[in-house]
Amino acid sequence: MSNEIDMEKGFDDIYHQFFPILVKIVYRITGSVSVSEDLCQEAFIRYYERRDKLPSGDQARYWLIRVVKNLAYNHEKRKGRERLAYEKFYHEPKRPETNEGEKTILEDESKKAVQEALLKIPYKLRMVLILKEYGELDYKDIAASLKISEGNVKVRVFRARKLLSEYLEKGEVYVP
Amino acid sequence: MCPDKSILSAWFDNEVDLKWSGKISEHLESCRECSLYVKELQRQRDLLHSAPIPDFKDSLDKVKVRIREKRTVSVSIRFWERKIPLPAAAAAAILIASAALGTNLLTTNRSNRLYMANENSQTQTVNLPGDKIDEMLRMMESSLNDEFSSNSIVELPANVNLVFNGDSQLIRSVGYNGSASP
Repeated sequence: MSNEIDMEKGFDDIYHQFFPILVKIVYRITGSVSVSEDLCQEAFIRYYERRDKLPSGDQARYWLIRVVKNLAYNHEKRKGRERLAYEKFYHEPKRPETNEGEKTILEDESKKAVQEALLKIPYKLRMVLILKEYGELDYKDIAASLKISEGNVKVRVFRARKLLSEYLEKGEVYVP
Repeated sequence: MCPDKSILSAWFDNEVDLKWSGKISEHLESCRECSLYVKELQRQRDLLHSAPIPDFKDSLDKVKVRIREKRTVSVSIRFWERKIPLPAAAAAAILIASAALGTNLLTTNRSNRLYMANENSQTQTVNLPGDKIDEMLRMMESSLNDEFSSNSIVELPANVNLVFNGDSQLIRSVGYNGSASP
């Protein structure tokens, strides 16, 4: 019984420690508040179900980041397919990728532009930059998480930063 | 000679070997263009971290609710959708039938009345036929008719006198694991 209570407390600690990191990652990948919450919750439910077999501390962080990364990837793929099908069916032009109903959460125009600029970066590059900046992972961990080489991580981070700068300049974003 | 910008980007992330890292630091002190590039990276990082992130205050409670719901659904699915192996189901049916039959055989108050229905009552009392297997089978068949509704109950005699008389033939012929016993 006390073991069960300890495990519950351990889960709560892991949750409070890593939920903010996961939210940052998923929100920056998907740009949607509701999807971020849903996917992060799903990751923690999976962690809860396997908590007796999974490590704690930083290893738990890597595990959770891998799970949300995969969930976000699947979500993006599905969303992309749905959008293409929609556009094909209605012959409508492409829409911006941000969720119109959730823009109110963004406080000002320049910060909104950061999110929009991030979403314009191709997924493969964006994912690496997000894992670096928001997941606080080093190149080695990113490489292991995405199953690519460290050299590839270095190149992708550089390209993502370059594109982000270009998009931010085009969008005339105020950079303090 | 200036290092490639991709190397400066890696240096900015502390991902360059110490040996080269020192040389790049020295170079940055003397090269305005490279130091401006690094400053730009820093500005970009600050901007990325200044963007608001949604706040989910009650999210842990929601996670726990979802975990509980998942557990409930999973248990109910297991309960309702559990597939009972055919031999086990057959063995259970035979076991119940033989127990009912055997009990009746052992009762002192044997009665061959097939139906004792009280027309004024909602319930129907059925006295299982004792040693007449044909009547027993006919009664089981009749359970498909309206007479044997879901409200019917099977009632054993009030004064039951049970004596040990060994396993019935049916129980002995079928094992609990669904296979025929040797």
